[in-house]
Amino acid sequence: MKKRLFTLFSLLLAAAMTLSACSGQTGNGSADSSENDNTSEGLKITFVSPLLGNPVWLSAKQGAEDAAAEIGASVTWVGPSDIDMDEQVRQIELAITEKVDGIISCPLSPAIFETVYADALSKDIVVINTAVDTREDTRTAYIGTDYVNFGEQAARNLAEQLGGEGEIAVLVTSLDTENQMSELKAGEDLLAREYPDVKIVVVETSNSDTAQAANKTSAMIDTYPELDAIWCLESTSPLGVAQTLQERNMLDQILVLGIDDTDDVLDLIDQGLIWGTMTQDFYKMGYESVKMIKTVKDGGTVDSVQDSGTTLVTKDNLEAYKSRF
Amino acid sequence: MNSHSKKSKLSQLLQRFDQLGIVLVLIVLMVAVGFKNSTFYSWDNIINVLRSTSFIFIIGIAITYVLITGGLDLSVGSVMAMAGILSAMTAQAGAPLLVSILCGILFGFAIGLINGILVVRMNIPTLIVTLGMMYVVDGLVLIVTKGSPIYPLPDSFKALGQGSILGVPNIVLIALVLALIGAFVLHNTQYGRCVYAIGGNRETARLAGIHVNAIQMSVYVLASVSASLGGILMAGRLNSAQPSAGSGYELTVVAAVIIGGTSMFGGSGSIFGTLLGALLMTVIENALLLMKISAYWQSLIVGIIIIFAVGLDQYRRKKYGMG
Repeated sequence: MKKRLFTLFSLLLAAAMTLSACSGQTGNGSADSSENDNTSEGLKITFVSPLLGNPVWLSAKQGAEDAAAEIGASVTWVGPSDIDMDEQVRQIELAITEKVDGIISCPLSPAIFETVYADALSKDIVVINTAVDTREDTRTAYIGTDYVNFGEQAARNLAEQLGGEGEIAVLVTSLDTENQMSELKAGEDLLAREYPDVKIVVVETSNSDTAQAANKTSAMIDTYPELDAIWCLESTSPLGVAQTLQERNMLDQILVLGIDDTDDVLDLIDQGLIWGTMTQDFYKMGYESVKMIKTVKDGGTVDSVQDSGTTLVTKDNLEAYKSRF
Repeated sequence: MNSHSKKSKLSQLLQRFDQLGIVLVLIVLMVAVGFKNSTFYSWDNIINVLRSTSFIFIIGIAITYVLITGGLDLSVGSVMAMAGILSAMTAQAGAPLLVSILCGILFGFAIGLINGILVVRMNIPTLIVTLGMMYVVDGLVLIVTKGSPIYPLPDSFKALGQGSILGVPNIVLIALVLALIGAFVLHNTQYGRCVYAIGGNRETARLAGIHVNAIQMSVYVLASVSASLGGILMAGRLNSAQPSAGSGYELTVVAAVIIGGTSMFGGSGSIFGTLLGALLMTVIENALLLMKISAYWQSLIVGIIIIFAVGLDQYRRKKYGMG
């Protein structure tokens, strides 16, 4: 019996490896490699995503792959399936061992990445940060949303929509997600300066889990009965928030501002379940990162910091936004 | 009966009540939060707490069986996500509700069976088997979804997760029915006694003529099928099957079961204890928010309350020689 089971599992393993090879997957199940046919001499780039299971990073992947196809490079797409910065660091170490030409990543907690980045730079590997930045001397360049600009714009949009007065609840992934906390701080500072009657009354965590966002929304509504708006700083929350507001019949009482342009967030705006979203251009982040690696490898220079920009999308400009490509 | 003997009977009853510590902590917590914010007792909040508890509890019932046999299942969170995704995809493709539910459940059945075979027939440690299976199913989730949620879902599917009877959500009613069945089977049937016997001493149970392997395999199937049901209901509730659904649930559920008094080494435990464990975890989270405790402090306080509640029960067990 045991012998038969071992044989069965060996066959299953072989089948899985064959299937993954056929579909462009590498052995560890968390990697995906895209390569132009004529790239044997091209640049080798590893994109270490912070969260494979998040659609916004798939936009960045698409951008990176499109740029790679243009310049004849190969991009290997790896990363953890849950937020796991240690795993990200391990993937970067692996990329260094493989002697890639460039590494693209998103260092959610910058300090954790500085040592491995220093190792990469010392081996002449170009390091590009996307969405979250580390100290300027620890990487080659950064492209992403300017946190301060993003936080201020989002807070201003909310304050103006609320008529300069109201209570806001905020949902973040976790309290140590540096980009979200920086955006929140910029928003809080702006409100204190320019809209003193708009207050952030509570900050809660969702762990990027829609169900948790739904539960926390229900409790926040009960705790802060005067709540006027919910500001989501991560992209899986708006769906949970809208679900709870719908269940509680409070869609017309609480304004919801989401983040990013995932299909579900844009659908929620279209259906009138949330007011709007602050989009970040993840496609551009992926695309420009690859182009920057090429420029540096060719001996050129790139700007240390590039703002990929942000746009407020509401029902008013939704169709125009969708047709921008 | 005089007051002295009444007191002594009450005292004996309390001594025998395994989860008294958890109940006391729950009561204190509920009274304290009620004083600070009376909306804790509002119908909407009670429903919110019960619904969150139900997702943990539905899987917790089966995990109680697994832990009583001396096993462990870390794959339930991933199975939850994948079953929700499979059911949602088949529902989106136009399959009748029952067929789409069946797809998710069958997936859970298959994973449970594989877990059971690997643990029982190949003697691979349960921690390794179910941890490995967690990665395998996580991988399947990503391969199938490419990271994108399955959204939106047909109305019939939404009704399953969002519907209610007399204001009580379906998920809470399903959890209640499963709890009654789970408790009855565990405490009043031959099967339940075998589950306890295997966890108490596997070899003795085998010598007593119990089909140890079959029962061990069946508890893994139960765990995966329950996780599938939880995943399907969650997809219905959120009108979308999320690749990240169930993330971290394996630890939350196992923690709830152990907090409820089920031994990590097998042989003892109860469905009622698991209910209290799940309720404690949900009530703490809800209470801290309602008491306006800063998110920076919440993890610290959750940890202290859990250690205190379980410590209180351990102290009582030691003091009264309850094993």
